[in-house]
Amino acid sequence: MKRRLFAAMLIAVIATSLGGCRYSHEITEMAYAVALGLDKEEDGIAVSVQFAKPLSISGGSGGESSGGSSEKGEEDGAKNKNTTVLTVKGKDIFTALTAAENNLSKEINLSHVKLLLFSQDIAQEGIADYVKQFMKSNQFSPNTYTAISLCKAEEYMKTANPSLEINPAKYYTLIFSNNDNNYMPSTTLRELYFNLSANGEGEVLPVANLSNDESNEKSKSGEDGYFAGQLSVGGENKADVSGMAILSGGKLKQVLSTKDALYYHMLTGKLREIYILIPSVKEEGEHITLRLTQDEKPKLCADELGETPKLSAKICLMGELVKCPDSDFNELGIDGLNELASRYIEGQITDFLENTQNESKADVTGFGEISKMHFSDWNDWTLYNWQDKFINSEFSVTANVNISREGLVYTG
Amino acid sequence: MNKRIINFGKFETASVLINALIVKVLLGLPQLLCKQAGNAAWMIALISGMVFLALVLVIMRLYKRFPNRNIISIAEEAGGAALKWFVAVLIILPLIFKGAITLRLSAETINLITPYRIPSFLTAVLVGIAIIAVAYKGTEGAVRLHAIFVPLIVTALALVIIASCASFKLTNIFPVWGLGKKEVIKTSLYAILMYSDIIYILLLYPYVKSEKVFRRAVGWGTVLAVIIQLAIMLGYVLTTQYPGSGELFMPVYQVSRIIRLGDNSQSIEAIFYPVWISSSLLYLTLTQTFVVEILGQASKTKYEKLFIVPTLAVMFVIAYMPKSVTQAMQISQKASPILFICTVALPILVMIFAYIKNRRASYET
Repeated sequence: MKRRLFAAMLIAVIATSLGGCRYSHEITEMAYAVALGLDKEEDGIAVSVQFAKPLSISGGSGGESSGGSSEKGEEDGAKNKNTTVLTVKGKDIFTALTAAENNLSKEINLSHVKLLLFSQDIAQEGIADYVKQFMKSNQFSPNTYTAISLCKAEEYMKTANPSLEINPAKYYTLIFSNNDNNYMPSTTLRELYFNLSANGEGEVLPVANLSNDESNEKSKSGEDGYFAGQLSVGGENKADVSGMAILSGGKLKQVLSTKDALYYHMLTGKLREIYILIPSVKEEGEHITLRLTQDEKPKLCADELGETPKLSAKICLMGELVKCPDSDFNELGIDGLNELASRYIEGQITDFLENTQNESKADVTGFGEISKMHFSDWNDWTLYNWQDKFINSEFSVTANVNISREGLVYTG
Repeated sequence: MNKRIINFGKFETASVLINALIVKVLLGLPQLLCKQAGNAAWMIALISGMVFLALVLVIMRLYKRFPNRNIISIAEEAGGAALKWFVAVLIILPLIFKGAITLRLSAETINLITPYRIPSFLTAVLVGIAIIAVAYKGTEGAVRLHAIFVPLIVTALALVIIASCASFKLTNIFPVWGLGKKEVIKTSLYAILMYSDIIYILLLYPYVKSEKVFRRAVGWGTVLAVIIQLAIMLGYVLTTQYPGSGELFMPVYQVSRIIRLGDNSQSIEAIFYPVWISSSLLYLTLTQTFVVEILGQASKTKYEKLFIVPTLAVMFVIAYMPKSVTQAMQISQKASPILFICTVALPILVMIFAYIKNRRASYET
């Protein structure tokens, strides 16, 4: 009995003395960041933090600030009333964030950050150090999405004003998780970190920009390849995420269009359902529309590894004929159309590979991953110097399009 | 020896062995092996696991001749009180050292992975309270706790590996020999030194129901532990590309961080916090219990529980001697050959010595 009494007293003492509130963090005392952007400044960097306003999102007292009405960042020109953007300059990310915290009544919580946005200027200088800092911190999830912004990251975050989604965290997840988007890659913080440390591989990130309909002369329509910010889109949300950026050694080398992103997806086996236009053979100005899906993973091979590596890619696509001029259909038939589409895609993919090889000198499709299988250990692989060899490599692309469906109405 | 009337079965004994062998995998071994041998770390788990199995077979064969006795009793039988104390001290010191390093690592790990900013020392104090509570219940308390929690830990590990399958990249295991054949063999030999937890087999024996049950438990426990280690190592290598894989703190936790089950279940790693913590806690309670028991047995006192708090205090002091967690890990790596000699080579030598002495005595009679 005495023992039980002693045990009960011990539990009571421990529970009351250690279960206190000293290290507690009330949910209402937190400012939840959903995106973080880095811009280059003359003397360091500018860190922009986009905070969610939970009351506003939940339909509460519309637009009540998460950090208190008098706090900086409230009248920030943000178009999205569910968020507020606070920008602080500093030499380093975390010292800037500490300074930002001083300006807020609430503690900054970074565990809900969904997007890390690097401005073009920062990316050109190199983002490897920043990525390592984010990975070191237990506050950032390794599944946080990353992107390059062609405009200032701060500007992008202020302008992003989704009309279909009130929750900013959900909006960024939907946009950057790339569930059905063939026009941009999706890269998480963890993937970026490992690619940065990998030997000879290029990093691929989606590109964000603001579309400017009035002044942009290059404004394009959806079917052409276009760069981020060039697409004519009506509506209030001018934030656009399209195309891809290629980095090598953590430095921005090249910005590519949506068309390149599409062929990148084909090569990496991540292609979702896509409509492509092939110029008509018989009627000038006309085109054939195909709906393509990739049921089989592409086969990337390193056939020969020497001074000039011979690399090959075999891509199999299933197609549905959506639109085809009668003259093309009658002349070529399904077999001819298969051949035409295959050659067209082969040409486009070869162009994409040669473009990235010559311009950014980076292997973004993973030929290096395949090539290293031919080496017995890491020293041999490092000595082979894939990064230099890749520049001289020759590509052989085989595409095999199989148009097996014509939809609910027969063509021709 | 009369007080050892507890009869542990196959399940309890195997649980103890499994946790003792996988706790270091949870606390950072995959990262260390990746750093030393590159992406061939999984191969090291396989090679060292096989050697360990062979070592266990040798020990079991030797042990057959000393039924119902632990290593301290065997030493006393072979060389009297002097050898008993010599062996006891040389086993207690490594156990306290290993316990101290595990205590420091687990306290720092809890501190680092949880969002609460509790000082590491306070975490260690809480862990210490838990150890004392279990130590007062003795070996039975510690082993029964293993039987309850080890299945949960193994299930959680299996879940982590299965759920991270989506992030597996087969090309991560190439080049197949990692940093080279030499490095793989060298690191495998080094990894064997880390199996000093084999000592628990030599301490648990008197508590097990029968020799047959003991043999089966050790066999199954070792095979399962090696399989689990290999699965964890392969899972880590397949999800984490080299050279990045040699840089991550607490690798299994890092793998659990990449698990995504839809958009609504993020930060799923939080579910596994109790798992990592309980594994370390079980290991520490077992270490503390056996240290106290050896001290009690060597000094032939009835009041062995009086040793609980002083030994834990020593463990605390050693745990917080290294300035940082990295230094603690480095010291632990450097000490592993000595620990292996004390906990594996010494008991084998003692058993051989006792065997020769017994044989000579039987010849003389």
